[in-house]
Amino acid sequence: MTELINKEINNTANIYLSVIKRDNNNFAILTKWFYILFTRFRAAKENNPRYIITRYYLSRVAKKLGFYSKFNYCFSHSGAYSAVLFSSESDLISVDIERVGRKLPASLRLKVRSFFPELLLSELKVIMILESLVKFQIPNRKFSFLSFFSGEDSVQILPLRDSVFEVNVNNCKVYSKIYTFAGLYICITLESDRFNFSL
Amino acid sequence: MDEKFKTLIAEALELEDISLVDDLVLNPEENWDSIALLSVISEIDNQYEIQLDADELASCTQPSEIYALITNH
Repeated sequence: MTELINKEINNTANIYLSVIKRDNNNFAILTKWFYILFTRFRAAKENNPRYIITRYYLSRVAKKLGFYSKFNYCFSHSGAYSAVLFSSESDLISVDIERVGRKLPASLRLKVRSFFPELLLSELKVIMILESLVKFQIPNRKFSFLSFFSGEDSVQILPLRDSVFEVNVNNCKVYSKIYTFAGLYICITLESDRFNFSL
Repeated sequence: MDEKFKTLIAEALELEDISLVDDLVLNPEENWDSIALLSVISEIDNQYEIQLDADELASCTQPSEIYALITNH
């Protein structure tokens, strides 16, 4: 496991982003699994390598930063990479990562574009914002792709500045920023628009 | 699995060759993530005019299982 970045992306709410590259060393995974038995993740039923490595990493880095029992977190994965977003505050947060250059079939691109015909943003990045909304605990009503594509959930995406977007979903306003880092797009959605400028 | 379906899967999962579809294992940690799922749902809707259940599709572990969902629909 290699940490590529660990950076505070919003200093008013202590929100940190990490990107790690996972490897599949079985012995190392076993030791990490043993470690997380003594953390808040011990009761989890999942035990795949990706799960174990990211929870191990989060437990270690949160402890190092002085975050103990209470902190919010969100994970996203793309190939061998994982993004870990976490906050010491109670703010709602979510993250989605995708490989730069990931191709979408024409039918999906057309479907996405039909909802945002004027928006100057690639279909992949739009999907990433939507994906981050799925993980974000929207207070009014939980958002899902199914309800979005069927027209039950409404989403408006308005460009603000520097790849920051105001996103209105089911009468709730949140903010997304899309960073590019290490061949990945990283979409972060927060309750406030106070993102650090770059990674 | 027919050629049309294999092409659909190859495109949705960014495979270089449709011959790779036969032995493909759908793994959420590698190739069967949310965008792959959305891509397959969209392409099946577009080409077969069938709306598959996302949860049912997500539980598939091989393309042949997706093909069975289409043919049994």
